[in-house]
Amino acid sequence: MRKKLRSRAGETLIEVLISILVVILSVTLLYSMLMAASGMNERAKALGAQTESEQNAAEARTNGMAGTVTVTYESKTSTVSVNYYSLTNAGGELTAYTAAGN
Amino acid sequence: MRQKLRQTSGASFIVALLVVMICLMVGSVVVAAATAGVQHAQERRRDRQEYLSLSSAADLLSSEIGKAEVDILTTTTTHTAKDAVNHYSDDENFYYKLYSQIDDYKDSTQTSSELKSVSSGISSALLEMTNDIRAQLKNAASDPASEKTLTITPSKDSGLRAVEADLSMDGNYNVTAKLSIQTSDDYQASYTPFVVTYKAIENVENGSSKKIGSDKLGFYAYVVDYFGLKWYYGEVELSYDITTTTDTDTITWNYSTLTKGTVIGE
Repeated sequence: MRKKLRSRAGETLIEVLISILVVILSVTLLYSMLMAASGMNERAKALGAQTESEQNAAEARTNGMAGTVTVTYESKTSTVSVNYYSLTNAGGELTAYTAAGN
Repeated sequence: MRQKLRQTSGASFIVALLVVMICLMVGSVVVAAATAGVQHAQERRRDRQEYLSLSSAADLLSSEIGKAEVDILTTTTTHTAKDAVNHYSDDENFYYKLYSQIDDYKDSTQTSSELKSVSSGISSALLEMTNDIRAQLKNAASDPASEKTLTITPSKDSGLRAVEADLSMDGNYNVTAKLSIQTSDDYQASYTPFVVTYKAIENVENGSSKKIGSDKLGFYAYVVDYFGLKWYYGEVELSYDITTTTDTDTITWNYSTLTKGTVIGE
């Protein structure tokens, strides 16, 4: 290698071009991987923030929506009126409930 | 071979391949870390929903148990002799035998339990457990206990998980509820159970006596003396008042302690 570094003879043109191409491809690959990871991090961050705000809304017990909860005891079923609490009541959100009238 | 290794032509290829390898390694580590971050965020969301399912169920249970009131009614019926006793013999044994019959007849006690506010299976379970404990206390059980299991299922579109509540009651009517997420083959809970305790408060009210009628009864007895030689025959005609007293033992429950579960593995 030392000999190669000291040598005044260069690489063939084709060799240099292929090497540059390979390096460009690998840098592009690395860049796209970093971009994908960055996107995933953004998604995780957004999901975390969404979870946080949905949980706060559910625990704040505001914006209640009337519903029921089924209580099953020894094959007997009864329903209890409750209020469901979530951020927008749109479904698919973190939800909590309390007995109606509390 | 040695000559081939020492040959310096084509070195730029090797350098380029090294760059590829380094790029791939760095890229995979970064992507793996980002994937783990997204997975963690998703798991955290699932954990939060389990936590809200458990805390909501604990809240509902506390509300229902807090409203429940079980009354144990003890009604004592007493027959009180009011007129003079007629008898035909003054033998001591004879009196004893006659009066023991009257004593046997005198008092009777009946107990019943009723639930003042029946609102759901939760309070029904509470009433049944109270009756279980009463029956065990009556039979002088050394360590009375009663256990029931309830399932609290929220509406499907809420995304909340069904919670199983294992209720147990001790001899002092104190209740412990162990709340856990209902698991199935395709769903394993990540939260350990919440444990909520409720302390029973007993309030005994002694009712006033109420006369509900009067009647007459005849009692008969035969007594043989020590040597079997004498026979006595006696008859007592007893006039008596019948009175009843209903004592009420009211049991209510106060929320006492809550031990929150934790995410398994944390």
